[in-house]
Amino acid sequence: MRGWDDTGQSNIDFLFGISVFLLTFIYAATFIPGLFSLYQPASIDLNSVAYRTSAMLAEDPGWYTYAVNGNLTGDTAWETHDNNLSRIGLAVDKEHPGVLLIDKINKLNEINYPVVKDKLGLNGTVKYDINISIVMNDTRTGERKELINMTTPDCQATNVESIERNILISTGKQLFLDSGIKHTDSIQRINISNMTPSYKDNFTIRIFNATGNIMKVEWSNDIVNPISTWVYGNDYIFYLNGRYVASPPVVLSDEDKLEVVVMNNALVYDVYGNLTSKYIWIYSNTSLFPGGEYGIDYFNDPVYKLKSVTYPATMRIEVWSYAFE
Amino acid sequence: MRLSDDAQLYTIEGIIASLIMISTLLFIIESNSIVTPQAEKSVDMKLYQRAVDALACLDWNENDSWSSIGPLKEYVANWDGSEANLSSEVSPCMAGLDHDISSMMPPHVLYNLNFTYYNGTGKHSKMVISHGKPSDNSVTSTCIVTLNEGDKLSNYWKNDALPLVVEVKLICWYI
Repeated sequence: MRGWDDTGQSNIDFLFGISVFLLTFIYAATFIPGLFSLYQPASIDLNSVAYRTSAMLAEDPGWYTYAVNGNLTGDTAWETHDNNLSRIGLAVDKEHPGVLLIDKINKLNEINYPVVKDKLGLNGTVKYDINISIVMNDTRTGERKELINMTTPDCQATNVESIERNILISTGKQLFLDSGIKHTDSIQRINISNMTPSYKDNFTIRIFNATGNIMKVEWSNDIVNPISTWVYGNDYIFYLNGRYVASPPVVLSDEDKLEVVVMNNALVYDVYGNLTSKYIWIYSNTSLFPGGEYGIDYFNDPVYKLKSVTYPATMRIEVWSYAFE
Repeated sequence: MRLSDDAQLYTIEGIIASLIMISTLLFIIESNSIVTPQAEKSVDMKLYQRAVDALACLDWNENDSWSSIGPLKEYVANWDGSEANLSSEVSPCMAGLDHDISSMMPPHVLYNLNFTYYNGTGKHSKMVISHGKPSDNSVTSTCIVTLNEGDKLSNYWKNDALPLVVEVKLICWYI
């Protein structure tokens, strides 16, 4: 044996070298996932799902399907056919994204939560939960109205993403009767005989720029006579600046807006199912109506237009999922 | 006694390997390509969506609709040509539009509104609402308004050839 033996050192040196290497390697390996923390599924995924859901609700009118002679077809009026619902959307139609129909919002309020999840595409391989709230700013009365607040179920997740959208709520169509254009008559006849059989909405006439009293509303079969009465409260209602009027007459001054609502179920039909109440008569004590020989056609008048009345609202959507917990 | 250098090899290798790994890691962290757009930009995306929605809500057609805010076209048509300046943040005839927009904006958001149009004398870009200087993360949404013959126009537009296209630009940012 020679004076110096170095065979034993090799192992210690190797151990030291490999431990330095491993320490660094483990440090690097544990650090790398942290680099991609921004790519973590929860934050990105929830964000895009929140946006996607808000876009579906605000910009799409939805869809339901039905069969005609065995052929499957569809339409956007799902709010009246929710048993064949295939997709939820709240927009009035494809041409007006961001304008939401109040009937669809009310229907959404009635649908069961699991169905809502399913028809919004939140029930796929990854299951999401959702809260929807829509608050309308009713500028007639200055009130903020909560149209929908779907807060079931309670959120237990740590990650919740939300998005808010500015939208318009279409509360239905109204005939805009601007008294400022022409006011020569104390009686206004409104012709509703062009009503389609499927028309189920109420008739609303918005009177503005008028000064005087609005007394009552009656109906007739032809433009001249006879006149038959309707009952206030049951058959027709007045809303003065968005508020219910307890009993007519209503006193109007310059800035006032009066909504005359004639109920659809107040319409009168003969035994053959033909419309008898073809004309709505609105009475005033002064000449504040344009009148006209044939009255105003409710559905298609060139001057006094039927417009959809909208109010601004905010839609807030919250999305979370337990798949990432 | 003979010196042995057998032992040094593994240690130096280990240290060099660790240096390479750490420098690689540093290089990756420092490089910009790894920065993800999604999560950090989602706040901007949400504000952008509000800005787009705000102009969309104002831009409705008077023939078949009515709303308590807007329409944008009426505001543009009634504009008297006055710009926002240091003494008045909002051009006086734009007070209604300013109120409409602010009612739709989330809290802690400021905005500017700009009209851009080409007429016979070239391109004009006028700031009609100016609530401050946009920050770095400001977002912009635009809407096109066309002024036609038959529209009720203010005297400012009377001399321009019609139809005239006006780009309405809304610039929003968080304070």
